[in-house]
Amino acid sequence: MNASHSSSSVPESAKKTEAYYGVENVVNTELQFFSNAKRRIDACMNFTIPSLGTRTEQIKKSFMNAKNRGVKIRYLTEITKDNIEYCKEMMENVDELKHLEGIMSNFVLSESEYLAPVFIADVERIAPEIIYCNINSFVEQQQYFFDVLWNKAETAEQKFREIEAKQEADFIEIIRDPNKVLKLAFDLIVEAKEEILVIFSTENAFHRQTRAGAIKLVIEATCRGVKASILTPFDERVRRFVEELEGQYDSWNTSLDNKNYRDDNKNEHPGRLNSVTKLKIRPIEPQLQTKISILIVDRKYSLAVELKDDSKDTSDKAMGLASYSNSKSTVSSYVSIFQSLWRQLDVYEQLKEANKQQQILIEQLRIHDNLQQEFINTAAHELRTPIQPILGLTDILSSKKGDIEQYQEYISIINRNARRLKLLTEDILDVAKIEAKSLELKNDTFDLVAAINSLLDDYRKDHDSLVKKYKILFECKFKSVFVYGDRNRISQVVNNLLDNAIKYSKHGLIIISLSKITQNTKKWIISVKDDGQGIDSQILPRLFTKFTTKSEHGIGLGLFISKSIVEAHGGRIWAENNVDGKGATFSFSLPTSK
Amino acid sequence: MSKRILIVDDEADINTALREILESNGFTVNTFENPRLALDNFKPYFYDLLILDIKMPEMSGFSFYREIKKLDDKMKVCILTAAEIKYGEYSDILSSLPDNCIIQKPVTSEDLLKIIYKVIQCNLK
Repeated sequence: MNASHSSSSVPESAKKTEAYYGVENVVNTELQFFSNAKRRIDACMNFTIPSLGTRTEQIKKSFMNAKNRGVKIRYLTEITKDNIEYCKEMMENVDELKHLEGIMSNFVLSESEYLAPVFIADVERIAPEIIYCNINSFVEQQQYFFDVLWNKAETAEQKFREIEAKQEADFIEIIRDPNKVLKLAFDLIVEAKEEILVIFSTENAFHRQTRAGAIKLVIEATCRGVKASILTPFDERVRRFVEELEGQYDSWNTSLDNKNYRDDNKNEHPGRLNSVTKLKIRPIEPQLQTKISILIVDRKYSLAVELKDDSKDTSDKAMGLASYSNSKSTVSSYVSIFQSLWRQLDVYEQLKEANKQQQILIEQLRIHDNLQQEFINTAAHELRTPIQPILGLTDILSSKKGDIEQYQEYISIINRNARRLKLLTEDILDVAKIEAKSLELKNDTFDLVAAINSLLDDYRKDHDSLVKKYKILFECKFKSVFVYGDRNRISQVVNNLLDNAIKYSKHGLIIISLSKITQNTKKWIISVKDDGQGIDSQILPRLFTKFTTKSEHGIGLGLFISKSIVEAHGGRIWAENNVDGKGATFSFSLPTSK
Repeated sequence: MSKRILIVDDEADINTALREILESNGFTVNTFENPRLALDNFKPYFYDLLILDIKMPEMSGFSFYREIKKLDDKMKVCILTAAEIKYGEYSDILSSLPDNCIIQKPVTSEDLLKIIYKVIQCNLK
């Protein structure tokens, strides 16, 4: 941007208002301005500029040269605790420096020129742009404006004293009066701006401060956004307090979320709820108990109070000497004590969790070990039992002579037990295949109705005496139901469920049903319902896992194998006790097609 | 007079096989598949030897042992089990039985007879 104005008091050719861009142009313009000034320079600068002015060598020199030429320099800025040292240095290069609270304008005037650097907000560096003007009337206006500000400002010396008075010296003060200690603690908590850290020596110290109102003040501080953490030994009352506080924070947060907070509800809350940061209270382990309680506020002040008599009800009687300090080393020592205790609790919690996990693992290993032993016992029993009649009767038969017909009973016993061994061996091999993930299905489309009917025919033939005791019904509305899968394996599942139903019912009714859940569903459900003793509630959760059996006979593999077969077909198997309280129903689903 | 043996085992086929072996060797044998029935029909001081299975529904061999010893403290007892003797409760309870005659199934006819002869100190053949 470039613009020109005319003025009557300077030659027409020299009258101008211009903007210069780029750091180099800006600095050159400023240096030219300083060397042009003859009688006075008035600078009005925000609080960031004094440091820039003293650190930029060229500008600093320009001030010095102008002053040495006899130019009277007045400097107006906001003196703060952060720029006070730069302002003091600046005073050596100017005639007078004054403070004006909150001044944000940036311009510099001589008797004939005006300069206004355009700074980027809060960025402390040379302005990237500067506006220049030498139109007399404008310069005069700005001079008037500067004078108004100047007259309102206070002297630098006055401001320096004010700031330095606030920058207290380090102190450590011993306080003997418990009431004074208590009042000081309250004041510190109320004035806390960022953080409150507390270590209580005993749980009673916590209770005493709860009664005295200190804890309430800490909670109020958290509602102002102050972060607060307390370490204290825990007893049942502290535990309850922490739980209730948790609940309160939840309700306050809800009221914040709902934006229902109104001034007339103030009493329900400990303070204005702008941003609630939860008060964190953690237990110190008993062996970490200290004999002093410590309050640290904003990492600036510490108050350490000795415990004189923990049996007293009130703080004034329980507390001994207190040391109050703002010394950086004292306060930071207390902060690090607090932090290391706090972190120690983290480590302790992690250790406890690790121990818990280890215990769970040990318990799992123990269960696994027990299951394995149980399996060895059961497998041993089931494998050895059928061998006994085979061994005994073959011994007998080998000593007999004559017609084999008269020993037909022995031969069928041998045959039956050999078959029993065969089934057991197949089950064990199936489990080995399942576990090795090598169970192969010979899938094809087959008629499930025909498969179940054929299975029942064989079952009745093979278990002639058994079947007489039971009534086995097959209910199905469909003449044929085609599914895709391994017919033998699916028959094995139905067979297993039927075996179980017979094993656990005495003389009952067993109903096998084949249905669709709904008309549109693509899954068939095969169920085997018995009216026996039902499923033991202890067994129910691990019914389909290996070695689960309540029977004196059987190895507990049938349902595990069935589940694996059904799932390999994309189906699901489940069991439930019947609603009428008699017996159980085992069901599995199968998809209709590929 | 032939020695009398009572067999209690829930496996009917095992009872049949053992009965055949023992009877053909001169013993008088009674068998029961149901231990409760065996108790109900038990004649004290009638049998020389009890061959007892452990893992049975209705009543375990251990419970049966305790009951039968109350009725007849003279009868010898041999445990005949298919379970793994060295594991779990079996090893503890079995080793506590005073008769301490434990036969692991399956047992050959020859070995079974040897043990029986030794226990009841007889040799019929």
